[in-house]
Amino acid sequence: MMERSQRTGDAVQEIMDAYSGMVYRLAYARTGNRADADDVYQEVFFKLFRTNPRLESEAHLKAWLIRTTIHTSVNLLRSAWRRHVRPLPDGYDAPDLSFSDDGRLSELRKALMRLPEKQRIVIHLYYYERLSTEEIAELLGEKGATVRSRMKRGRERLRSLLTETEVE
Amino acid sequence: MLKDDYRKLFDSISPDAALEQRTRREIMDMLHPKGKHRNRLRRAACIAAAALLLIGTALAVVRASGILDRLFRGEAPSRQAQEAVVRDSMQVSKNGVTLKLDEYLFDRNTLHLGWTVSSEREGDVFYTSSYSYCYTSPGDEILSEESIGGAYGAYSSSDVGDGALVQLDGAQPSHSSYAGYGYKVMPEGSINTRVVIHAYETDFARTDVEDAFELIYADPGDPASLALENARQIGVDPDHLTAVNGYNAYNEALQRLLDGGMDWDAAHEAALTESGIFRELAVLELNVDIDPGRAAEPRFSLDGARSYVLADATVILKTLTIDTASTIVEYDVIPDDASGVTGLNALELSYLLFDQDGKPLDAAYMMGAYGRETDPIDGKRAFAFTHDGNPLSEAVTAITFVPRGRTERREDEPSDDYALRVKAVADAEQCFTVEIR
Repeated sequence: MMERSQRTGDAVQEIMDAYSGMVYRLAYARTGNRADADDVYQEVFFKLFRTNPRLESEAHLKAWLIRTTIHTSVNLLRSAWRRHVRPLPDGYDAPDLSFSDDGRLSELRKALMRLPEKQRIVIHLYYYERLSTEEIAELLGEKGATVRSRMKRGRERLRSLLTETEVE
Repeated sequence: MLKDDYRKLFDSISPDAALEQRTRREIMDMLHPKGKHRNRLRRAACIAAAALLLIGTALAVVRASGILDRLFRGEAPSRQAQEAVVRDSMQVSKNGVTLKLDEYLFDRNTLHLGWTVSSEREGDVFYTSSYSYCYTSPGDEILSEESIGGAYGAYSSSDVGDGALVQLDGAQPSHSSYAGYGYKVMPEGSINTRVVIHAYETDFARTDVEDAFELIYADPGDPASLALENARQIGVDPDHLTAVNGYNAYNEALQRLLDGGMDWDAAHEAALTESGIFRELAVLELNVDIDPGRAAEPRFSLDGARSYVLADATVILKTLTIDTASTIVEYDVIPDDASGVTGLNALELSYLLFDQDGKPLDAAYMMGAYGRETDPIDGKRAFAFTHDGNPLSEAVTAITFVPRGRTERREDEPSDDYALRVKAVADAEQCFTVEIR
């Protein structure tokens, strides 16, 4: 836990420099758009420096940030007990990411956003943050088998969606 | 390869510099305030949902059977809900495993369904929790959220479709599950809902269902892995692209194929054998088409927006709908003085709901509350809030809105106790009541 006096500009800068990208990418993976990812990003870092949790190591800090990003995204997107099904935002087909490739990544992004949220989270933590399934399970407070099953289903579904795109 | 594309995709995603700088600045202002508190707005300030505060552990109390029981939680279901539940007998069977759609219920905001999987086979049958989807019309994926809710049975309280493995045996030959969906705007076309399960059996000895499921993902040195090596088998299902496991024969085959230049996913498939530890028995699927036009009229619906000018704010009540299977409340709050309102404290502007007897409603009806700053109204800052949850009982004849204010919830304080504390200190001139007739 940082003493208040230690939460200086340098400390804030150091932590945000180290984890800014990770938090934002995870928020984006969870929410699917920049506007919501922006909000989650800010809320997570506000929470960190406002609540000043007791964190004993760098690994502990990283785990705290990942968990808080996921929880904050959940709060943003849905009610307590059910999800609203949201109309696709205008311009969904106009990617807010610019790619110079042949659109393959754009199709991947669209397919990814069609996955259930819990599968997206696991896939992101596995593929991008390169956590093991056991590490993911511990982070999420889930059983290892549950995480692995979500991975399996997520990959199957992605593969199926990307294949549909190729056929079209 | 998928994972390479994934990394490439997300390598290009990062917060823009302005957002980083703004966030950093606002954090420093929060930690080291200078003089009078200044307005620290975030773009489209997102207010953390009150849902977790209000609901707390209520979700864990959900009963284990019946859509109506889940929605009304021990109270008598409304007449309208009882009449609206569709009890179905649609089922599909293969190899002694049956998937049956038990019932469904829908209104203009939500769709709920329940189904049962059963086995007549002598041996144990395992099935992974179902996929469940909801579409606007067959083949089109709605605004696609995964199902939520949970299993009726004793195995797992995690979400349906979440990978929990259910075991059917002589002691428990059937297992029921539930899913619920919400839609912000009722679809105009038909709603198609689909439930899919994969059922398996296995010859390998195991002590419990977790052990059995782990056979697919066993790591080197696990008893399951050793048993497989001794039996010279590779325990994976070739059709379902299981996670990498530690079996020597599998790893040798995989490495050989990778060394030969094959893509990882293709090599993974090729390295699997036809003899899996889990043999697939059946893939069962049910589709139900629902006509939204058949939804009953809500028990109560506001006949147009209502404006309440209160002591320190104006509230525009836009929606108050008590439907067959849900309750939706939407309102805008326009504080007289919004100078100190930030994304961090805007939740104080929201209201808690009470019935005509002063009983708190939010937790009782599992109503989540969330909101965000919206476009200004008449030049003043405005904040939009939504509460949604289970259908209110017919015994509720009036709803009183009480401002949350600055009363903070104490650690581990029950939701109702917190709500009553808020109510006790509220100024009557800051509250308003809506009659439900």
